[in-house]
Amino acid sequence: MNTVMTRESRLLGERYYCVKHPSGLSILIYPKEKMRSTYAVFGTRYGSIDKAFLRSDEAQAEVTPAGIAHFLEHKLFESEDGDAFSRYAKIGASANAYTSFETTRYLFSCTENAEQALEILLDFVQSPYFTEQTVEKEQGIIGQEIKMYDDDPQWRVLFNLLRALYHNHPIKDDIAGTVESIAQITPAYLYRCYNTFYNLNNMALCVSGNCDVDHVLALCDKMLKPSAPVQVKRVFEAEPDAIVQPIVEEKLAVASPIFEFGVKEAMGDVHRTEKDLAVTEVLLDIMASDSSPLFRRLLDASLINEASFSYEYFEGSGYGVVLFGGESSDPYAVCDAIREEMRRLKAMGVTEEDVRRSAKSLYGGNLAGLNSPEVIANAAMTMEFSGRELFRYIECFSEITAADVNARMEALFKEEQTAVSVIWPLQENA
Amino acid sequence: MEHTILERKDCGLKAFCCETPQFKTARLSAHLVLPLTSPEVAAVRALVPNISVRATRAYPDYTAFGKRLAELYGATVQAGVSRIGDNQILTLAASGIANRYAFDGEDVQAALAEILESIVFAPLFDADGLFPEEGFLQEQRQLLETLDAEFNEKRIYAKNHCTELMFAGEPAGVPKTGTKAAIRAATRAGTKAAWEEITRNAAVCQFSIGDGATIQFAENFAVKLGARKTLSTESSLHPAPAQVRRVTEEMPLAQSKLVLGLQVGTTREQRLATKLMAAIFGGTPSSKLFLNVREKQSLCYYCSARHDTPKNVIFVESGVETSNLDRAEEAILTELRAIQDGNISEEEILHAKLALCNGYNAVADSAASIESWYLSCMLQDSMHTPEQDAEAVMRITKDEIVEAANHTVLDTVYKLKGVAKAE
Repeated sequence: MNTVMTRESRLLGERYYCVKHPSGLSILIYPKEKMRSTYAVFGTRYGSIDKAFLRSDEAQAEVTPAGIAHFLEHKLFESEDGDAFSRYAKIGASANAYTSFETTRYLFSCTENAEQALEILLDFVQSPYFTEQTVEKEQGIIGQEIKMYDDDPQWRVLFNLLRALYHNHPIKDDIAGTVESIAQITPAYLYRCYNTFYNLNNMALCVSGNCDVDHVLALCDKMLKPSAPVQVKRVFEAEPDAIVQPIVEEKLAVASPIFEFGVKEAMGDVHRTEKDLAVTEVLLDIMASDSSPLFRRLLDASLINEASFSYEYFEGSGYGVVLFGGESSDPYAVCDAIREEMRRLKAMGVTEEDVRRSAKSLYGGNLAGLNSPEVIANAAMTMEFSGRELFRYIECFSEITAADVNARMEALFKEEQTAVSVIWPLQENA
Repeated sequence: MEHTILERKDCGLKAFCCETPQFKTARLSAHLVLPLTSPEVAAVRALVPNISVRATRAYPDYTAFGKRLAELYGATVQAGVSRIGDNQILTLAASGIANRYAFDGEDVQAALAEILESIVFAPLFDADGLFPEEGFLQEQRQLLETLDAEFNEKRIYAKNHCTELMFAGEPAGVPKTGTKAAIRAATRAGTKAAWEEITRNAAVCQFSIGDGATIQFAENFAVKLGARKTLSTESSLHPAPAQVRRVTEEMPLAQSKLVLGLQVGTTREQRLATKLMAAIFGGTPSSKLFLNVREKQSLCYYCSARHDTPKNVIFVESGVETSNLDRAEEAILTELRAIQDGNISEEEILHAKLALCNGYNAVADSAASIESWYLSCMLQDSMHTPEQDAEAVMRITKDEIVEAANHTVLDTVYKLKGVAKAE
């Protein structure tokens, strides 16, 4: 018997349901009336940063080649009697999967046959099948994917920055690994990592849109295989607070310089709450949104453009960075201006009026996300894996004060922990 | 999905309204549609929406306007420039949360309606009656930089290049925002004249979608437009090529790009059969290109085909190792020949039909999809629901698919060939 817990927000006019299934799986079900589409995502807390891990039933940590989480994502679609895409195709569902730094997710959306689609999802993700031949073939396909990212200036500028900020943390490694690291991957590695991270205690299922709680749970009862109560601990080498190098540059076939500026956050074992996230986002909105003085100064000086300038708080297990990026004819002038604004804000502090305006803006943006079953399911999963709750996060924008933001700024803005990555045009593109 | 359509021929307005609490937001938009003529005209027109959304007469300062939108719970005002068929589409839109979620009780939607109306009909001008110089220069620079950004994204760059080559000499071959030279040559007076031309001649497709949307906005819009004659928005089909155009460009890249442009000689009535044929060819993960060229032969990381309905052409895009460029082209064309020869299984046909129907049935779940669907209908002058297309596509026979394929010929081959870095 499943115990269903209801999460409800009167402010947002929304509700969803949470279940800790006896198999160990966390299940979140978020019905959306009037939606014809069903969207489901089945994910594991296993991403590119999980190169080293310690299982609760073993004494020693294990280190694996980079790129296994992503490789597994490709291979799980295959089984002995065909691939999952062809099973989805028979019922008209659209399927995909992706690997991030922290998670691997398998998803589908459909407007008919949702229960069959969910059955396929729960089945193929729980049915690994790897052989020497299929692994070798995938090494070629993933090698192509890695090459595609080699040409992607946005990707390059970010990873160059992460390597300038982090000495040891695997956040600096490409998600797909390298051609060399994936050459080391064998069926044995894949089974080992699969059996460790695809334990249902380490996974979550989120279903949203056109769905029914009882039907989803009945299918889960039928399909989920019991998992041993194993917990997986992420293992990282100690990461110094200091950065590696303040500047990193590369030349690529781009028409204009691209930059990414980062402020590395000193990490401890601190768990960031929903409010910590919201406060940080308010701080960044006040500092760099298109109604901020910094943005205006940079725009008036023709140093940035509205289409490309962006900022975000990029955080996860053992890492946290404030990122500012975009195209600029003079990236170093932009970085100087950002550092100067950090100093100015720390000296002056933010006002309650600034906080209220930014908080309203961010509340509206997050509310708009609830239009989409895809956004809902993925946001709910991200929150679940990080021990946070979706409605609590959106609602807490109304509680934030200037004191919260000023305190966060003090802790976060350390000028000596900043670095910049620039992609310059090759001579012939300049 | 219940909706209201308003067509006012006297003022060149077609409007679509869908009021639904299914969404937490509502969006108001106006697509101003004009035929593409030259890069110079396209450039000055493209500047208009971008300058118009910078500020309003009530909030003439860029930052003050941004703060006003933030106060309205992060409402957004957007400008867009796109190409559909032979037309340039200038989009102005405002969206924000439904009033019921405004915890301080503001009428967000009324404020947005006022803002959008003012942006379209009464943009901010200076004492000379022109767009303010500061905003003009900013947007001119930023439009130039968007062309640089396209160059930075090689997949987009390659597709755009193939499109321009294939449609050379046709209105659709004019870049949607003009060329760099044309943008640089634009003046404030020319941009003001473009705004006057747009308000005088552009066909208008207006949308109100979401919680609190009403047809009242469209009715007010019609009054503001007044009696006017608009330019035709009909697109002509791309003619059959005399010979295949081939262009290869070299660049220091790890992965090459191959884009094929295919001309399709089917009629408008065969639209869905053509779409279905393109889906079987390369539109889904169960398509011939995905399964055979990507999966079985491992010739590329991505390889897909998409039908451009207004011009009735198909573009095949792929990312390929340089040494495989020729093999990949041959492999793609082999799959087309297979369809032309009738080598399609009933299963392939059914899978493609179901995939298309899944897309059609999902249109009503997203405001952006609803808008895109009905904008396309308005431009084709053929109002039909996604559900109608879903039903019709299920009735298409194998013979109709094969016939569509046999009207498909290679037109343009663009290769972006990766070479080693010189430095």
